[in-house]
Amino acid sequence: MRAISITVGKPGVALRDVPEPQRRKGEVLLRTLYTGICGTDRGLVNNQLPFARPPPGSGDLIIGHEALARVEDVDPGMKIRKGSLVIPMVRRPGKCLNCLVGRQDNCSDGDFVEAGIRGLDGFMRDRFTDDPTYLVRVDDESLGMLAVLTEPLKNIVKSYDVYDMVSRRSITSCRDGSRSCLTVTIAGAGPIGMLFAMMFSSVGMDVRMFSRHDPEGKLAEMASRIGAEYFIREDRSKPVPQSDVFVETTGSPDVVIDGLRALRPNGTMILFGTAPMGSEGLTGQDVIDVVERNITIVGTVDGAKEHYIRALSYLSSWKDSFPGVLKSMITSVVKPEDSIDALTARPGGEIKTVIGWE
Amino acid sequence: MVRYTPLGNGRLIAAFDSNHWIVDFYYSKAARDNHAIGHPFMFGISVDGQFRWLDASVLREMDYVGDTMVSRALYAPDGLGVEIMTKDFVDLLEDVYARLITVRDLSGSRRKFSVFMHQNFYIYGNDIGDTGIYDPALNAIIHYKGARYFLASAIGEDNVGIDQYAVGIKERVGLAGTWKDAEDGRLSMNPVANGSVDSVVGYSSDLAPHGSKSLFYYIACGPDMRSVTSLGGSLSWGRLSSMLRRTSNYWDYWSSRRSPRLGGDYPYLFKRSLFILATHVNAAGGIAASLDSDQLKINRDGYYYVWPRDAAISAYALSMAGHSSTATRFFDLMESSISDEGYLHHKYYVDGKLASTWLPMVMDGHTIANIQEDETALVVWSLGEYVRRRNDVALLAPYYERLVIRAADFMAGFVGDDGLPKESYDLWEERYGIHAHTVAAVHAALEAAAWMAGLFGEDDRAARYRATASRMRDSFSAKFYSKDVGRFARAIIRGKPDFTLDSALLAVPLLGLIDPIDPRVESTVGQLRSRLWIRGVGGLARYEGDRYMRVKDDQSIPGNPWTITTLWLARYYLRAGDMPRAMEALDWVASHSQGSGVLSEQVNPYDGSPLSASPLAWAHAELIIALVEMDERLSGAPQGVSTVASGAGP
Repeated sequence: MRAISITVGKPGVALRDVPEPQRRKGEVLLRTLYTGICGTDRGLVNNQLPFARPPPGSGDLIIGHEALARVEDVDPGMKIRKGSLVIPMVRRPGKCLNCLVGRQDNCSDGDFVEAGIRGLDGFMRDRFTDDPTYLVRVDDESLGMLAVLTEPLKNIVKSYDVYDMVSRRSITSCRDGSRSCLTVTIAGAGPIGMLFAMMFSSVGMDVRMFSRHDPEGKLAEMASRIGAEYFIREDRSKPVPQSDVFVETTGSPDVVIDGLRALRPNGTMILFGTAPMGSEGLTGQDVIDVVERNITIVGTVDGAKEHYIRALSYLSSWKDSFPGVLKSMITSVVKPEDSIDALTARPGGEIKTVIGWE
Repeated sequence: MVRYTPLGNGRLIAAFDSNHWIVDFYYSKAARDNHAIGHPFMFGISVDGQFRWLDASVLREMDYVGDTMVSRALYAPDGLGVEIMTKDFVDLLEDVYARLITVRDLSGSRRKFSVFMHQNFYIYGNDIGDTGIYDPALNAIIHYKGARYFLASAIGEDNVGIDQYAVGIKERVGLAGTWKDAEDGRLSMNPVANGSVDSVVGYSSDLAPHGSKSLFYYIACGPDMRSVTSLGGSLSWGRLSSMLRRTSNYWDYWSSRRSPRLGGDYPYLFKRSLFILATHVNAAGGIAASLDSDQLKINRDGYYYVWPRDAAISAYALSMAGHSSTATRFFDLMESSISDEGYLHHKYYVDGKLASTWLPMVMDGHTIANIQEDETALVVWSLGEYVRRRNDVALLAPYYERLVIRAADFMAGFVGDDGLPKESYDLWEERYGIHAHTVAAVHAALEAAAWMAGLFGEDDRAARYRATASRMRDSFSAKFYSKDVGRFARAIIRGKPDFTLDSALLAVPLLGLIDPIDPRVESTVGQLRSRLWIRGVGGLARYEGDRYMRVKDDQSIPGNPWTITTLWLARYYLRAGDMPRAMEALDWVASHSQGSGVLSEQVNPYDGSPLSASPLAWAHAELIIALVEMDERLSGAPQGVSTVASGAGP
């Protein structure tokens, strides 16, 4: 069967022929329908992620962590049945307390594995087996390929939970109890930025988002359909608008600092994007402002099973409340044989490329 | 047999088997009577003349919809080129059960279909003197007897109703039942039958290629013809859609009050346990042990009763989860049920009437108390916890004199010369004696009563209860623990300690009788885990040599593993600070839940399949308690050990 893999420690990616998986008792055999390509996959392909590691005993790693799959075979009497659509979870627990209670997204010691990223083969292959504990059923089968967005969206759902939790330290709601008077600015207009925009827009917040380029105006149009305001910010000369929440999805330190300086009192900075480059210093005045204005800075990664479930629920809701937006986020569907270029470098105009396996 | 995705509103409860067919249908003002008692209401489809029943063999999904008490099923019958999705609910306000059925073409061609819904009532639990009759004015079948009326029909999204029906005799004079009539895709249109009766209604329509069509099937319930025809006649597509929406929204909001911050399937299991527990709570405050009627076939008696013990734990779980108002009605029922002497009986019907018992009043020629004293105790203890958690003495006032004082006075007086409770039956309802579990429960109840008396300024009374509890604890330590055996006895029977390893000993630390990290407790629990944990399938057996529902004689198996006992072990380890072992026990329970989150009383020790009553309200209550305690412990605010039980007050 086909699988897309890298040799960890070397740049490059290839479509290879690998043996069929053997399902053991208690496991589920899955047929991959779609896998999404994200920046992490390209980081792996280009050997830019120091935390990448193959499964024990192997030098190669099958990549892919955003997937939609169908159950092909399962033991009788199991909760998941043959024919069901599922999303496999990425992160698998280690031994810390958070991992022990199923919150490996908050792992305390880094002793976890992630499918297609570190220590465990991923989902860019025709078939794979998995523990049903780590499968999330897709109830709304009408989502079809859009369900592949569940994995990235679950990160946003968790981020929003984290924001919701930390924002309760002071009164941040409006006089009518809603959040409609609050402004959120999102740095980055890729799939993550767009999903953040939908999340905050769906709770009634005033959403602004920016990126460095929008040559064809697609991002502005998509933002507009979400109810967000998009603007181009080519460099630091353009100010970041004052906000109650600033979401950073690019990983750029200078954007982080600019966003921090634009936060209003009791504001929250959500750090989500990561990039191994760049540096930018904090000033003493920045520290004073963070303290004096009760600024909260949070980093958030991954999500728990309940975030996957809620992400699926949001996708079902958003496909109606933001008509066409989710579909237009998937800018290209390629076959595995044609995916190498898209895995190596981001195609021009891409928001999300998906590999179709059937 | 497991009852999946039960649905209810306190008066009407529908429960489903593995085919997702109704098999239990309770209806009265307190959901007392079961009008199906395990007999299936079948569901079938005919597509372009090809008929098949939609059963477990083609059922791909069966679960609740999100965090709502609306169930969802997906049937994908091979070869028919259609899929059938259903959403079932019991309306929040009206006594209506409804099923939204959506048939979708997968073949890409135009199709003709008929769906068939079977009504298999055994009104009041029997098939004597039932009537089924077609009402042309309402285009519906009405089944009735006495004060129970059920109107069944269907209506499509185009507001077109059923086009076929048949009423007939079942399981008599060689007749299988009217359901058989559906298998040729056409119903006989027979309009009436009496005696042992079933009926089928059919709805027909067509599908555009890749198109879908939806209809609501419904059963309206009422106490008389006028009310059921009035309700049934009012059910349009729009009204049923509105009922589905309000029911869905209500339960989504209801279940969002608290969610433990655990990962994996726990948030999902927590909410499903709340729904399932809620279906066991009726409008009169009764909390049934289980709505699974399967036991009736074997024993001619079942679990659909209020055991004060199970119900008290359930009320405690509901109050922990923030649903105190639901619990309040239970204390109303207990207040009206308690005897003049101050104790609660073995069990009650869900409307509070005294139920069947197997506890004798005479033993060896002597009159004995045919009670399980821990049942009375746990109701008082649960009420104390309820008040403490809400920190609201006003909640206590209505129950203080008639329930708390009456029961506590009884318990303080029902004490032997040695300070221990007098003999009564154990929580397993098998042995008469002085039981460790009963001592722990009575001790906790007296401490709770002392605390509540203190709230009302009755210091003398509080001191009396506390002194009785203190003496009980000291006597327990002296008489139940053996250094030689290295553990507590589970009971003293006829004056002799019984050192059989019994999971009920976990009540000693869990109800605050002795500290969880006391070496005597650690030693006892260590032996329980070592000897009662089932090798292979896992889970904690009830006790050594447990014969109840044995699968086969096997010396290597101490007894079937039970859900509640395994959850006690989880809660014990949580309090003892051993999180890996707590999670091991909790994970075992989670992995043995059914797809819709249903927990059974027991598990087959050989293949892990569910055994006995499923769902069991007590099991769901214990899971809720365990998850809330876990959440509190992980939040750094351990509240698992009651301050009431330790006498410290709020």
